[in-house]
Amino acid sequence: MKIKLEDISKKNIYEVPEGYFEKLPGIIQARVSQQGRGAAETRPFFMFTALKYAAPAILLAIAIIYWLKPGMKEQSAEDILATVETEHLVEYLAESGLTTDELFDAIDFSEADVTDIENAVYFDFSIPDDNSEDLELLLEEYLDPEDSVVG
Amino acid sequence: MEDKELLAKVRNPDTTNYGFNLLVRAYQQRVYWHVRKMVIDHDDADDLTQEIFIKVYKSIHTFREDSQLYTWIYRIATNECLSFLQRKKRRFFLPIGDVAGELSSKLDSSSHLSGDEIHIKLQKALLKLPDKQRLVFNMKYFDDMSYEEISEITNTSVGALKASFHHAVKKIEEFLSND
Repeated sequence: MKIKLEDISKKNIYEVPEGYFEKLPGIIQARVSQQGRGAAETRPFFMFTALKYAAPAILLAIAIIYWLKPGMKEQSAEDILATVETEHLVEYLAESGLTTDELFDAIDFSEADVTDIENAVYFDFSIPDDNSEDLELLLEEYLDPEDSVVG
Repeated sequence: MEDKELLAKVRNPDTTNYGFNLLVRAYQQRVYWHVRKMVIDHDDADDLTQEIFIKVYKSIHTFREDSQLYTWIYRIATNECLSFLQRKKRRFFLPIGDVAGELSSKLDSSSHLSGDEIHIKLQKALLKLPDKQRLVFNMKYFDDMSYEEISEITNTSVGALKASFHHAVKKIEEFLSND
């Protein structure tokens, strides 16, 4: 026999415990008040907890981006250093406490590097014209054997 | 009391608690029964109803009054029901059928039930429907809401709702006739 929905009365078969709706507003109000007090106390805790889980996730995301980003892995140390300003590099080296000898030992100079340095030191260095008189006096002082300090 | 008055009392810092109490009393039964029909069990419905009103309290300042207050509260209640049922399925790795079976067994064992056999059969038939379709059916059939109101709550077109309700009725009648 075919049953039609319209033949069934709309009866609510569910029941609630006695007095349920009289008590419910009070229960909800109490929870709301409790949460309001607790929210201020738990906020720093929540932030710490959130940071605890956020920090590793952020690091992982950075690592994934680094590995997935094309071309980033192929950058050499020289390429990366080239992006840094020379004066910042000089500042860093000065603060690092390394001696000149230690720096030169660490650097692997090629023949071309040596030639470039020599040219810069011995041939590219030029004295401004207005200082030439002072220099001549200095040269006379040090090159004249009669005026030599060394006795 | 009109919704505007209620909202004014809730939003006024001097009368927030009093206003909220009035709001709960005004809407608690509609929210509870909407939830109860979906989750079947009284304790679950009780927990959810409390959570819903706490959410209402926390987000009342975001209510822009571009819809009825009841529509907005109903929307929160609907989302909470659907989330609850989703969590239930995930927690126990239950496929849809098993959750329906679990809810159906609550209909057999619950002490908070009264009704003829046909009404209990009708509720079991409803449990065979997907959650959203069941929600739409409840709102249309039991709550006598208009398709426009249901559309606002569920963010679904009136046409889709009409089709959904029509198919739900067909499935229910088939189940009741064959069982």
